[in-house]
Parts: sequence; C-alpha cells; structure tokens
Amino acid sequence: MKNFDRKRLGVRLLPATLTLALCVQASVAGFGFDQSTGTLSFVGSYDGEPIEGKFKQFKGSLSIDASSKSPSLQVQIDVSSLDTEYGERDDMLKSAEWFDTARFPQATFTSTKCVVAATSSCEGTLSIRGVSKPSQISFTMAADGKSMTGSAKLNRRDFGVGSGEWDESGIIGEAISVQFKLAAKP
Amino acid sequence: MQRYSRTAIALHWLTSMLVLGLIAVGFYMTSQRASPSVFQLYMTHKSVGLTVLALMLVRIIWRLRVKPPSLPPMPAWQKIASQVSHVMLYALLLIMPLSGWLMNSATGTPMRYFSWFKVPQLIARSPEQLEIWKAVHGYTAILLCALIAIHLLAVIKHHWIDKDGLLYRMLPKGKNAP
Repeated sequence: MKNFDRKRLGVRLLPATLTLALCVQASVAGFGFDQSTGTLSFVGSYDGEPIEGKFKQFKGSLSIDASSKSPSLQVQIDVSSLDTEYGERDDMLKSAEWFDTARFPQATFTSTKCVVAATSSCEGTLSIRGVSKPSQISFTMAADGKSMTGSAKLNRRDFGVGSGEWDESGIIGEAISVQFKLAAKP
Repeated sequence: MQRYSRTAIALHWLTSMLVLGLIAVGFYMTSQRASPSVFQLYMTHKSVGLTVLALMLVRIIWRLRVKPPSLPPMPAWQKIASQVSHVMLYALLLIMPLSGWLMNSATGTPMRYFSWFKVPQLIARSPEQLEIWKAVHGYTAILLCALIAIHLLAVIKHHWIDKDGLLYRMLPKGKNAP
C-alpha cells in the first residue's frame, strides 16, 4: 500500500516537475561546470619566481538571463583540494596560517555585475578564508557559449592567506594570479 | 715536508667550512616548522650547496691535474683506507649537492643563486622523484658525517699519536711548521 502511494505521488508530481524545468530552461541560459570539464589554477611567487598550483574540486554556474541577457557567475571552490604537487607545501597552505581549510573549507565568487564584450568581465564578491572582498575577473566566452577562459588578480594578504609572520611580501609574494577555464558539463 | 698546492689547501678549507655549515643548518632547518626565517635558511642552504658543487668540480679537476704530496710512511692498510675514504669524500660531496638540487627540482620550488640568477630545474615536479632524492640527501648526510668523523680521527691519530707530520701537508706554511 505504501509503495503504491509513493508511485502515485511520483506520477502526480512528474508534470509539475517537467513544467518547472521547462520554465527554468526558457528564462535562463548558461551552464553548470565543475572540475571534470575545466581547470582552476593559481600562480604565486617564491623568491620572485612564479610557482603554480591548482584546485582539483570546484563547481559553479554561469547563468544568462534571457530577457536582460545579463550573465551572472557563481563559483564554489573546495579549498582543501589545492594541489601544488608537493605534499608538505600543500599541508602548509591548508594550515591555519594560510587557507585554514579546517575552518574555511570553501572559497566562493559571486558576481554582482557582468559585462559581455570581446573581453568580458564580472565584478563580484570573492570570499576566501572568511574574508569577502569586491573583486573582478575578466574572461573570454567561447563562440558556442559553452566555455569561458579567464583570469583574476588578487592580493593574498587581503584575505589573510599567510597570516602572522607570513603577512608580508617576502619570499612568498603577495600577488596571486588565478587562471580558469570553465566549460559546460555535458 | 711536501705540502698540497696552495690552491688545493685553500679549496679544502673553504669547502670544509661550507660543508660543516651546511650540515649544521641542514639538520636545524629540517627540524623547524615553516616560517619566513626558516625559508630564508633553506634558500641560503641551497645556494651554499650549489657553491660546494662548483668548488668540488674545481677540486676534482685540480686533484687529477696536480699530484698530491706523498704520505708519510705508514702500513699498507692505512694507505688503502686513506685512498678509499678520500674517493668516498669526493663522491659524497658531489652526491650531496646534486641530490639536494634534484630534490628541490622535484618539489617545483623555484631556486635562485643568492637571489642573483635563476637556477634551472634538473627534473620536472614529481612527488615520486622527491621521495627518492630526499632519502638520498638524508642518508648521504649521515654517511658524510660518519666519514668526516673518520677523517678527523685519522688526523688526530697521525698528528698527536704517530706524530708523522701528515697534517702539515694540508696547512698553510707557518713559522712553526716544519
């Protein structure tokens, strides 16, 4: 009897679900993405020379409002997935003085205003290690609108990444550039 | 008393001072938690290590081209022991900086020679290679310490027990030296 009810409920809800999905499809274009179709890497510096790493887990979406055509972007990064191919360095970067991934497992970017042009850009809020700052990313959309490639620049000290005695632009530079390629999941 | 050439004597004492410093700093810095000052030590350690590598190459060329002074009379086994330990010292003093350089390359950490010029990476970033060269660097350091101890014990024996004047061969000519 119970099984029967559940089945009936499913049947009843199906048209509603379909309608909702179609509505969403109609009003918003864009795509969802994650690490399976893109990359998210960063370049810092050590003794003035570049050194790079990447985040192996992230997800988000680019939505384009059908009526206003204005895109919005949101990205969530699993900070503890950071990888510089050197375990001790990764552990240091995850530690309390750096990203403090135990307390702040996620970093996010949420756009507030995007402009689509030859080189597009989004202004938004970047949150890392519990600190939210206005920031800007620039990117290029692929012709088919299914992927975007771009970059951002930030100062790690604005977010307290490298606190205490690391809060200086010394051996480990303060300027960080972020590079990403975000592509639609199939 | 026949001495080593002035160049050989200078190279010997310069490398020995640098190597003793490298060993002390090496054991110290690896026992510390990461901090900017410890990172500075690492950077200096790497640059001094490369200096030793360059000095060792010059020393090997010098050793092959300029005949060292003969040993004072001693039993055959001591002559053989001396030969073996010197070859090993040269080998370990090459393996130490090379394994350190390889280890650093495997971590992908950029390296500049005393913040002066960029030193190329010998191999691509690799956690597997890192494990290998880290082990080589660590065990060679212990082996080198043991060999230096033997080297010093031999000096003590020859200078203060045998009193055969062996040490003077490696000392600059002074007024008290024979």
